[in-house]
Amino acid sequence: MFKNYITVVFRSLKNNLGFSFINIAGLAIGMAATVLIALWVNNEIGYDRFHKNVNQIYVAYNRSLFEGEIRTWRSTPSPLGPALKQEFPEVKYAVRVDYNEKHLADYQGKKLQADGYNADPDFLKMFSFPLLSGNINTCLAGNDHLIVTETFARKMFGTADAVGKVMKLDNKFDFVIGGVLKDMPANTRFTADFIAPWAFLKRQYGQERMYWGNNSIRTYVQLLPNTNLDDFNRKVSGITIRHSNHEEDNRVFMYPLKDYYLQGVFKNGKLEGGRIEIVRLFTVVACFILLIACINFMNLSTARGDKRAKEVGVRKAIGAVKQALVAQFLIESVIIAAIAGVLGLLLAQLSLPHFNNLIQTQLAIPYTNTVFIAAVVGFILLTGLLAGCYPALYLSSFKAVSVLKGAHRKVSALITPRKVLVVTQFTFAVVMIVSTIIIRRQIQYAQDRDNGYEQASLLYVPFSGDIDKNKQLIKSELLSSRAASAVSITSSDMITGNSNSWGVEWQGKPVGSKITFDRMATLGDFGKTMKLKFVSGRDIDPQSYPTDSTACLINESAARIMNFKNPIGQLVDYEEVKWHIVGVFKDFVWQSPFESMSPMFVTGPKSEWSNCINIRLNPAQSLSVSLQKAETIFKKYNPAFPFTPSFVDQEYQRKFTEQQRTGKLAGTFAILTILISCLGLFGLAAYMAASRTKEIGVRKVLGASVANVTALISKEFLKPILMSVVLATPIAWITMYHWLQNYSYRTGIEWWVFAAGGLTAIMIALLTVSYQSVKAAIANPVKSLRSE
Amino acid sequence: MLSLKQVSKYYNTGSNKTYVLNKVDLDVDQGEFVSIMGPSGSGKSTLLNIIGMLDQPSEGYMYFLNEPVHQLKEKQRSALYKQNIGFVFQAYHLIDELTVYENIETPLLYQDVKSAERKALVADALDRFNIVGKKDLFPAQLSGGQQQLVGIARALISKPKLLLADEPTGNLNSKQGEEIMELFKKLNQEDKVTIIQVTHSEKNAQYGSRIINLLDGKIDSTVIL
Repeated sequence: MFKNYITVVFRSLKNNLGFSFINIAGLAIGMAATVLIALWVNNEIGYDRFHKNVNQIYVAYNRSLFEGEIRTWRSTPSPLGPALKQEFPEVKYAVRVDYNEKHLADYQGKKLQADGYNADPDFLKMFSFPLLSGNINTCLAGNDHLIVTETFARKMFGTADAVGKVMKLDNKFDFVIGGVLKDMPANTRFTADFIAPWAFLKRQYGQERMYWGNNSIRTYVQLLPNTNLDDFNRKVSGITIRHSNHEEDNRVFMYPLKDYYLQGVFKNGKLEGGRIEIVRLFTVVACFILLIACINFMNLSTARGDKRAKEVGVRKAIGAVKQALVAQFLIESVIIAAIAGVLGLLLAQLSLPHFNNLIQTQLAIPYTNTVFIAAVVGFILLTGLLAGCYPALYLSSFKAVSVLKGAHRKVSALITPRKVLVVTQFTFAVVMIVSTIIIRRQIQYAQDRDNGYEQASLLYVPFSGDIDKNKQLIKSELLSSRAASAVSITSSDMITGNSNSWGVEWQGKPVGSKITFDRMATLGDFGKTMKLKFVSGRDIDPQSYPTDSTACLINESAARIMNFKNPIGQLVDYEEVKWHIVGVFKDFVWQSPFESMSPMFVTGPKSEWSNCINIRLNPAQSLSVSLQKAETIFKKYNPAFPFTPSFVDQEYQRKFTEQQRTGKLAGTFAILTILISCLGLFGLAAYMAASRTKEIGVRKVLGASVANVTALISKEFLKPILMSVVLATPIAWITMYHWLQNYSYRTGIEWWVFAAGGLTAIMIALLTVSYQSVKAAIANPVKSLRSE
Repeated sequence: MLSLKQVSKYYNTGSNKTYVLNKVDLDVDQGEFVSIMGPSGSGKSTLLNIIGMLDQPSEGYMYFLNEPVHQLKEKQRSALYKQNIGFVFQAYHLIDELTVYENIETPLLYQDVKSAERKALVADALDRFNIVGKKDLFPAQLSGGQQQLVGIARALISKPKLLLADEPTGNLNSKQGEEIMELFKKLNQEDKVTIIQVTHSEKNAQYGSRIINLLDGKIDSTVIL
C-alpha cells in the first residue's frame, strides 16, 4: 500500500515537472530561510548562557539619577569586586574584567599582534572556558602568568604545548604561559587571544588606582546557590556610596548574566528590552516565511484538486475508504515536504557562508546535534501534515459518483480561501519591502548627517611601545617631513567616544546638577587637525600662547548648557584645575551617528592625558608618499611595533554595521518572501486559467479579444494585491515607527514609501500572473471547448 | 442476491422534489445478466450507483446478499462492497500515474491481500485478458479497448460476485465493443458472475438474460430473453 502511494507521488511529480518545481522550490526556500534564521536566533539566545554556573553569575550594574533621569550602566569602579567578595559571604567569586587591548606579543623573535584583557584569577572558575592544558588554580596566578587560546597558541608556538613557555608583551613584560584555553565560542563577550592576570595592571602602571569614582571596568559576581537576589541587591546597593564617603551616589545592583545580552537596556531605571527585540522580530519573520511557504504548498496542492478528484473517485469506486485516502494524501504531502526539507538544508548549507558574511558571524549547521535533527524532522512532519491536511480532508471527501460523472465543479468555491491566502502572503511581502526601504533611508539619513569635522585623509595611531615617550618628537617630525599638514595628540581618537564626566563645574551651574560632558584632552592643534568649525574663539595652541596649558574648548551644546553670554575667557573648574575657554566649536559626531549630540569639554596639555596621535595628511602630496614618510618616522621612534594607522572615514563606517546588517537581512528576506509568494501566485494563476478554460473559450467565441481576456484574469488578482497593500500599510508603519524610536537622530516615514512598496508588489504580481493570463487568452477556443 | 424495495432518489429544487428514481422495486438473482436501458435522464446510472453503493437512496430499502445495506455503517458497507462488487466505467477511469499492472493490483491493496497472493492474482488476470505484454505500460499508452480491458480486469481481480458496468462500450468503436460484450457473456456463463449493465445499445442489451426499461425514474417494462 505504502509503496503504491510512493510510486504515485514520484510519478505524479515527474509528470508535472513545472508544477512540482514550483511547489518544492517554494517550500525549500522557505525552509532554508527559516533554518538560517533559527541558527542565528539560537546563537543569539545562547550568548554567554553556556556557562555551567550561569544561573548564579551576575553582572554588577550602577544606577544613578542625572538631571531627573535614572541612568543605568555596567562599568564599575575597580575596588567594587574585592569589596563585594570581602564583605558578603554570599559571594563565591567576584571577578573584574577590563577591556580588550591590542598588544605586541613576542616569542623568541616571532612577533604577533595579540588581543587581550586582564581578569581576576577566579575567572576560569566562574566562567566555563575549559583549559586544554595548565592548572586552573595557578594559570592566572601572580602577576607573570597568563593564559592563551588554542588558536593563538598554535600560531605562536606551533603544535607544541605552550604551557611554561615565556612570551614577552609589548617588548617589556615577560609572561609564563600558565594554560591554554579551548577556543571560545563566537557567542560570548569574552573572546580574546590571551587573558592576563589583574595584577598585570600594577606591573604596567606601577600602582592600581583603587578609586570609587572611576567607572571603567566590568565586575562579575557568582553568588552561592539559593541566594535571594532581591535581598542581596538590597544589601549591596549602598556599597559605593559608603566606600566613597558619599562623594559618589551610584547605587549598585546585580543583574543576571543570562539576561544582560538580550535584555540589558535600561531606560530611566526600567528594563527596556535590548537585543531581544531584533531577535524577536526575526523570529517572527522566520515564522512568516515558513507560513507563506506552507500556504503556497497548500494552495498549489489543492489547485490540482480537479485532476486528483478523478483519482479519488476511482480509488473510492475500487474500494478505498476515506481514511485510506486521507492517509495517502498526508503521506504524499509529507514525502514532498521531506524532499523540500532536504533541498532546503542543502540550500541553507550553500548559502551559509554568504549569510555568515552578511551578519558577521560564524554559524554552522549542527548536523550531529540530536535536537537539531529532531527539529528538522519535526519541522518536515509538521509542514507536511499542515500543508497536506487541507487537501487531504478536502479531496477525500469528494463523492465518487459526482467526480466520476464529471459533475464535480465545486472547486471554484476554493478560490475565496485561496485569495485570503494570497492576501496574507502579499501583506507580509509589502511590509518587508516597506521596512527595507525605511531601514535603508534611516541609514542614509545618518550617513548624510553633517558630522562636524573632515574625515578624509585623517588617520590616527593609538599609543603602543615607545610612542608615548616620543610623541612630541614624532609630531614635529611628521610636520617637518611634510607628511602631515597638522597633528594633534589626544586622549582618544575621533571614533571611540569612550569617556565622559559629570564633574565639570562652572559659574552658574545649577546646584546638584549632574550634566554629563563628553571628555577629551589634547596637547594642542585639535581644531586644526580635525578641521573643526569654530563658532567663536580659536584652537588650543600652546606654541603661540604659553597660557594655553590650561586652555579648554567646548562645543556648541556645552556653551548652550553653561549659558554664558560670551563663553570665551570664562573659567571652568575640573579636576582641581581652572580651565579657561578659548574656543567654541560646532558639535561633531563622536558617539553614535544615530544619537543626538552631547555637550563636550576638551582640555589642554595640563591634563597630561594622551593615548593617540591624530594625523591630517598633507594634501599637497599623494597618500602613499605621506604614509611612507609617516611609517619611517614611527619605525624610528617605535621600532618594536608595526605601523598600523586607522583611517577615520573607514572606522566611522563601522558605526553603521549593526543597522546595515539589519537592513541587509530585511532586504534578503523581503526578496525571499516575494519570490516564494510569486511562485505561489504563478501556480494559482495557472490553476485559475485552467479552471476557466471553458469560460474563456466561450468569451472568445462571443468576440472577446486577447487583451480583454488577459485583463479579465489579471484583474482577478489585482484586487487581493491591492487589499494587501491596504493591510500592510498600517502594519509596516507601526513596526517601523517603533524601530525608529530607537534612534534619536531619525528620518521621518513618508507616504511615498508605502506607495513605492505597494507599487512594487503590484508590478511583480501582475508580471507573474501575465504569463498565465496571456497564455490562456491566446489559446484556441475550439480546442478548449472540445475538451469539455 | 439483490433486492431493492421502494427505492427513491430525489433532489430538492427550491420547494419541490425532483425524483430521479421513484419507488423502484427490483430483484436480481445470482447468475443473472441484467441490462438496464432507457432514455437520457431516466435514472439508469443512478440506479446502478445505488446498487453499487456509490450512492445512497433518499428513501427505500436495499438488501445485498441478505444484508440490509440501508442500515449498515460506512465501514461495513465498504467492506461488503470491496469483496463483492466490481465496477466498470464508460470512461475506464484508470489511475494515470499507475501502470497496467499496478492499476489491476490496487483493489487488492485496499483489501490487505498479501504480496505473494497479489502477484499470483494479478499475473492470472493479465494472462486471462491477454495483456501480459502491456503490464508495464501507462493508461495513456493504450487504446480505448485495451484500457477498458484493464478496467474489467481490475473490476474482476477480487473475484466479485456482482459486476456493474456503466455503458462499458460507450467510448469504444463497434468492434472493440463487441469484444467486450463477448467477454461479459463468457464471464456470466462460464464464471457465473452476476452482471448488471447500463447501456444505450439495443444490440448490447441482447447479450443479457433480462432487459429492464426505465422511464422517468420508474421501471417501465421488463423483458426476459
